[in-house]
Amino acid sequence: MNDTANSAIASQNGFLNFPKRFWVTLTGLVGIFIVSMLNWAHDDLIFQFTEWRELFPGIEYLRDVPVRFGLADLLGSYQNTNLYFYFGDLSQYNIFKIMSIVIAVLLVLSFATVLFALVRYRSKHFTKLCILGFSLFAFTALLYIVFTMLISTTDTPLDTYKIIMAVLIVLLVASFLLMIPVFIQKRKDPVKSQTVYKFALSAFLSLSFITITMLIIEAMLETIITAIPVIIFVASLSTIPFLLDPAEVKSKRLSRFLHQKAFFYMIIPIMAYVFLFSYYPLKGWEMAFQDDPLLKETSYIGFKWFVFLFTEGEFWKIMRNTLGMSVINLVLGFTTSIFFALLLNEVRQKYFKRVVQTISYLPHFLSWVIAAGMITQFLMSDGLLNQMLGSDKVWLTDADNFWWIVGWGNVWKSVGWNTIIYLAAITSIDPELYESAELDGAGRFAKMIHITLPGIKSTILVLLIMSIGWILSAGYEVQLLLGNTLTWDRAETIDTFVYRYGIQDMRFPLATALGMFKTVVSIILITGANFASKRFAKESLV
Amino acid sequence: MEAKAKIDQSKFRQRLPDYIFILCNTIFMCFIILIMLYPFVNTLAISLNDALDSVKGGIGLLPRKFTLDNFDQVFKNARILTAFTNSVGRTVISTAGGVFLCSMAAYVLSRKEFMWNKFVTVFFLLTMYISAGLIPMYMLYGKLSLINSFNVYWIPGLFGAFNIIVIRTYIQGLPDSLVEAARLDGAGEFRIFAQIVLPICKPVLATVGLWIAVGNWNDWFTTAVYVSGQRNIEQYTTLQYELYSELQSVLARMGERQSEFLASQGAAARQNTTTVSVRAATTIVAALPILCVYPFLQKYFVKGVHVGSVKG
Repeated sequence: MNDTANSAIASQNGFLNFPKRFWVTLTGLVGIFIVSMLNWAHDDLIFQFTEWRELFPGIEYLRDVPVRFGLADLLGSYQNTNLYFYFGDLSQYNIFKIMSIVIAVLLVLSFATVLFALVRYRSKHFTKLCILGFSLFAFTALLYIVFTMLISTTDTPLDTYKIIMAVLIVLLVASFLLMIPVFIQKRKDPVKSQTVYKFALSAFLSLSFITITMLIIEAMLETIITAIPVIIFVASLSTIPFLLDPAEVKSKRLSRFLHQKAFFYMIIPIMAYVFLFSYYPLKGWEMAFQDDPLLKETSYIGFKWFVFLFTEGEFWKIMRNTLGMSVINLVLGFTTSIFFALLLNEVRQKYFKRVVQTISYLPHFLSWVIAAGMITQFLMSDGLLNQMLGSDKVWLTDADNFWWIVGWGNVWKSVGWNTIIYLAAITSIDPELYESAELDGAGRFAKMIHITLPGIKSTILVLLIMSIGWILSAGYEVQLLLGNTLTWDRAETIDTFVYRYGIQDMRFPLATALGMFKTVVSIILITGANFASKRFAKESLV
Repeated sequence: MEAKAKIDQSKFRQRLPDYIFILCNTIFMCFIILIMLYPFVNTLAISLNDALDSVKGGIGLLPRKFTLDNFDQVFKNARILTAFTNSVGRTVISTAGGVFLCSMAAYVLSRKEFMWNKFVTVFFLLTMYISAGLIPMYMLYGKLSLINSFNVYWIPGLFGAFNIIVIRTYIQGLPDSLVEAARLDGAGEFRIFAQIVLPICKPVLATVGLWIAVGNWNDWFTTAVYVSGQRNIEQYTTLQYELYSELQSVLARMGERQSEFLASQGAAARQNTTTVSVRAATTIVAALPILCVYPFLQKYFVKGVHVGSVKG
């Protein structure tokens, strides 16, 4: 039924009379072809004979494309390469020539295999041929990447990126090799080999994901055009799932993967995006171990910036400010919002309660800029506070008040919003408790103190533990907005220091070291807090 | 009759502390309303008051000399108009993109049969706790040439782990048969997501969209960090950033005045004439969209907080 419908459409379209897998394979083939061409165009070693070049008219133009693939431009400075650094002088073995020829042969082979499969697209060996061709291509590309990495020029022997990539690729190959014997053994001893196989497969998949993403990012960051071969490589690899029929595949896992390929096409771009913006920047931490790039060439100097930071008086001042404001925020925030939630719960008129709630949420939705403007207005020399007190003190220029201004500003902005979670906890208190308390003659106030408050104790505890995990984040917006030259001594927190010294004064390494310190300590605290709340409140936060 | 009155009286006496408590509580709540609302009403009054008159101070809840000049001045200012366009543009683009990306990720993660479910969930959740910090991000944005461009407002901020959890929780609450039926009818996964799951998820998408929108509208820090240079700032400024720079100048003057002991009081006061009223008017323009919207949509926000606290 379906077939006839398909063929009816196909016959209308005339020359499009091929199945889907034909077109997909063709796309992959074109991908391989472009990558090979770009590679060959740059590879002087094989094509030093001009007559070979004449086989491919127009290939000269491709030489102008500044792509990452290609060995030729690297040959001039062999003495500077990683290869020379690690293995000594290998030029006598003609290693470049041999590698170039091996890679070229492998590329031709993979191209030929896929082409053969394309020609015989009706045969039953089609799938196997396609997989063979594409995996050969993938293998060649990996080999190529390892080799370019080894021979690429390097200013510092300790290039983190290259080490990470080398480790990743070694692990990748190792997990792949681990899979093969297990795969063969699987038929003999299915139970024993299952766990090893699973482990190896998942390691292989996640590692190849990370490797490919790093490759794309590294390539993109040089120039967009450099990334083209890598993108083509990934795109031609991503056609493979279309070539396989889940019903024909023997491996259960693979057939499951093929059934779910749409999920992967949906999630993998998002994962790459997340990797780029959330995990890849972690590589920038290496800056904390380098000399100031503005002064001279980058070189690794170990923990100098950290030592500098911890021995400098400035750091302890920042820590004092951060912890001071955090503690004030914590204490004021918790007490006021619990107090407000308890009282709000006692308001019985439904509409009045709702109006109070809505109005108390208001400051939460407005930006800190607006809030800071209003706080400034309130604290001006002719502001409301001075009118009430009958004085003309300028509160914002007095450093001693700054922590309290920040603390009460935070309370004003978020007290209403913070009650939501307590009010939700209050609704889950057993009403029978109130009834029995009433029988014992308890008034409203007594009920509030003896039933409602103990009822939300566990919520309070969990929230308290959770906020201890964030104690190094005292905020940066209020401080930047309200701080001025006279109060910076008390206003500077970790985050504002990173901004002011890092972005404004361009002291990148020092600011990175401080930021790194903050993230690491915060992660330790959050993990500890999660452990503690699991222990005490039997509730996980993470 | 007499006995009953006696009982009532004793009941009243017994309940007297309660009544006092309710009275105090009501007064307290009115006090809270006053504290929360006064600054806004005051700013509104200043923005509607004559600029020269405002400098005398003492404007409470109502404008003394009503005028719309301040708003006229704000909307004639080309820079603030650019800022307004940028603010609206980034909010719209970020919200649309962010909701699409987060809901797609959430749909995939809500499918239990998805092979990498656990791995991807952990991969996403860890981003809430691990952050490289400001400087590495600045370097990355520089490499991606996001600095000094409009793209910095929307490209990096599309993803939110918390938003994904909230949407995923909602999708998990839907009956599985819905998706199964569509699958039996031959719909592909993307089609199921776009044509069946997305329309049903409207409430939760509204919640997440509002979070993203409010966050974008209120953001000034991105401009402060990633846009530099006079010409770039003029081109890529946002409303909140304009308010920020006005506030900075006020505070700087305050510091100067304190240290120089009112050396040039007259000049400073004259400068204040325009800034106080115009700043109030700009504040109102920046706050008004949210003020108009949030009372009607707050139930969505509150719902989101509950979901997050349960599952987060």
